[in-house]
Amino acid sequence: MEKSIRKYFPIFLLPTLFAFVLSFVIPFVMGLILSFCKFYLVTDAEWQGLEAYKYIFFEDRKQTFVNALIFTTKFAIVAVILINVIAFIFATLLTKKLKGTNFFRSVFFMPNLIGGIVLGYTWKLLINGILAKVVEPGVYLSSNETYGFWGLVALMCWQMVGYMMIIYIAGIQNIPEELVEAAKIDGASKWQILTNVTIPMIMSSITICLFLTISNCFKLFDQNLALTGGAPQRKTAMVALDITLTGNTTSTFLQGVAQAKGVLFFLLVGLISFIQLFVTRSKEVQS
Amino acid sequence: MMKKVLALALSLAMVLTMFAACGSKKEDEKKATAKPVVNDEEAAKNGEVRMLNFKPEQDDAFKEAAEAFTKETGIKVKVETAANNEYESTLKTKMASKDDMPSLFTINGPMGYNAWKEYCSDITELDLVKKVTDQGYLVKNGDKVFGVANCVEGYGIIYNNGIIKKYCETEGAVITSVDDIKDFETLKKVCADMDAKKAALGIDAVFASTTLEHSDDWRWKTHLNNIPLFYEFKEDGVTGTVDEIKFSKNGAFKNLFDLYLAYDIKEERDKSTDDAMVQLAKGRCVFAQNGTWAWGTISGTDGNVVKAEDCGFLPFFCGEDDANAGICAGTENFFAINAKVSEADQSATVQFLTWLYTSEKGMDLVKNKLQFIAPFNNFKAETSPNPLINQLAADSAAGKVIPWKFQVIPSEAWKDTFGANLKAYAEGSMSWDEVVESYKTEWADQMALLNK
Repeated sequence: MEKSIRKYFPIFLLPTLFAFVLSFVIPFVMGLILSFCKFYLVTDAEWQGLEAYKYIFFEDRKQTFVNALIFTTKFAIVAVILINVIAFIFATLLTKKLKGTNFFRSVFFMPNLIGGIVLGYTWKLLINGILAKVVEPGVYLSSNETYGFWGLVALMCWQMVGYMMIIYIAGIQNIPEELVEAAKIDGASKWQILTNVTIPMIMSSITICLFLTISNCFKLFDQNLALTGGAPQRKTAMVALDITLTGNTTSTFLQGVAQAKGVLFFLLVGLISFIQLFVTRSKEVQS
Repeated sequence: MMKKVLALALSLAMVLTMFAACGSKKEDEKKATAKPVVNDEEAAKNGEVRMLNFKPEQDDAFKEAAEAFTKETGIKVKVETAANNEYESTLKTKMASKDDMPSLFTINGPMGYNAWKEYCSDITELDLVKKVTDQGYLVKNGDKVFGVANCVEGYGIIYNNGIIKKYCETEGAVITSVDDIKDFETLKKVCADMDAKKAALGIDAVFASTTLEHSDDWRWKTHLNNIPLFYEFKEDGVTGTVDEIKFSKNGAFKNLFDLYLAYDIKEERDKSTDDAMVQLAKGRCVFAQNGTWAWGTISGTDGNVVKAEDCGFLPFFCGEDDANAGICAGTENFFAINAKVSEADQSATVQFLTWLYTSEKGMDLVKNKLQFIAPFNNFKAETSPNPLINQLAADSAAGKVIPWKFQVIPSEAWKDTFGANLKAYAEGSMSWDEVVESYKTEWADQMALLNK
């Protein structure tokens, strides 16, 4: 049996492998190569070495990539903390034996089902309405990068909290009751139970949630495009949007720059995810 | 063993893609001089026209034209339409697939030509090209022609004469009819006076909202921007693109833009251009800068109060050569014939274009189905249900129009920056001098990147 599996596994693997190569490996390799080229059509690319990378860091007077990176990092830090804390609080509340927990779980999960573009435009109207009432008429989300920043944070929290909450709920429900009971008998306070029992036991959920939120925050595009579009003056453009804006040109050189930004972006997201995965893995409780 | 085979296959795939990406350009080294388009009636019969259409709203009309043409000549025509705002990326994909390259595509002017230089064939000798009513409707490189406008559009300051008439009857009105507005000073006075009489006229403001969100600021960053570009180029005798801009006529731009900002519906500047047109349609304002295409939105609004006979364009009076002010006429759609498709396909494409714009059936389709104002002298001005098109046709015939120059703007990025700066200026976080400065440095930067 095992022998025949060994013998025939490539045949079963082939369709997936084919799709993977076609839709991932090839574009990826092409993208990598194109970042060293100037091009308008991918078929007539012209090699130019590291020019595009040099431009991104040294020659771009406005430093759009670096600024986008700083903005994205700030956003990611704030959003990741807020999303996870709020989601955890909700999860804790909704695992208590309260009335209507199922109803609330569904309600909190729902925003996650709405697409980013739709959410972006809806929140834009919403926030513009509030700003006009609270600050003054004629002030919009796009007037000030602080509004844009907090608008994005609010939007992301609203959208992602439900999903993370579900993961935390699953984690919390998996904690053996004896463990909590034993802790109680030993006289542990609620805080001690939380820090010494609950959190270590749901470390795998935390890993998943952090992983998802961090990579989602760094890769954010739809919401950014719809909510602020980078306004004012590209100050709220996150990395993915910055790449798109850079590539939207007839300049063959800037196409290469956008491609190079894409490669850097990939390296960055990959690196962050690996570090993060490594760090949290080592803290997980081995069961 | 299997692992090795797999690894080998994978690395082979990678290497192959590298060749695919870099290898294909050796054969045809970039030719600076494009060949004249081939026009062979015999060969055309075996050819095929593959058109990539820019405007989704005209998809049906072009398909109808294609069918009629095939019926008459037997030459196959394939019309494909790019989704809204996806034209450039669709064109890129199509051009990269060697068998399915469009033979007929559109470029947006000198900048589009710049990007697609190697794909635009020289169409100088085509009869159709010789029929254009103005040289401005051609995309040229030196003496050679590479693109020809497929329609003419126009924009100006749309007014609702119904309210203007009402204003003229008020006490102390500055003008007696809309025709009295002949320069910027008068326009300014009229606006101030109308603003003072808002309640009596039943309007919210004089102008529709100056929409400043990044998706709706093209009326200023691109269209109004034509005014300073036109006057600067006229003064300096510029005909093509420029690496550096002086923005010497920024005063003309500022005059109008300040006027809009002073008297518009301020609370709704975050709305869309269509919303601004609805404001005009509902009689909430008197003026709105926009083009011939806006009539659809205006006349289609529920509760529209703008009668066709009351709707017209005011020329751009901006304090610069007001005696010769006009509405802006031009296009961003120039047909180009692909130099890299077979001779039979090129011939077929020429036949199709000639048929569309010179045969009786074709001209009828252009006028009534595509609803284009064709820029060729075999078309007679005829009345359209769209009053703005009628005015454009009349003004063009009388030579009272300002040609579009904004196609020389270096890039979308430049427009975005200028648009964002205008917004910041309107909100008071940027001074006009800073806007002017950024206009110039940004232009030089973008052009340098284009030429890099």
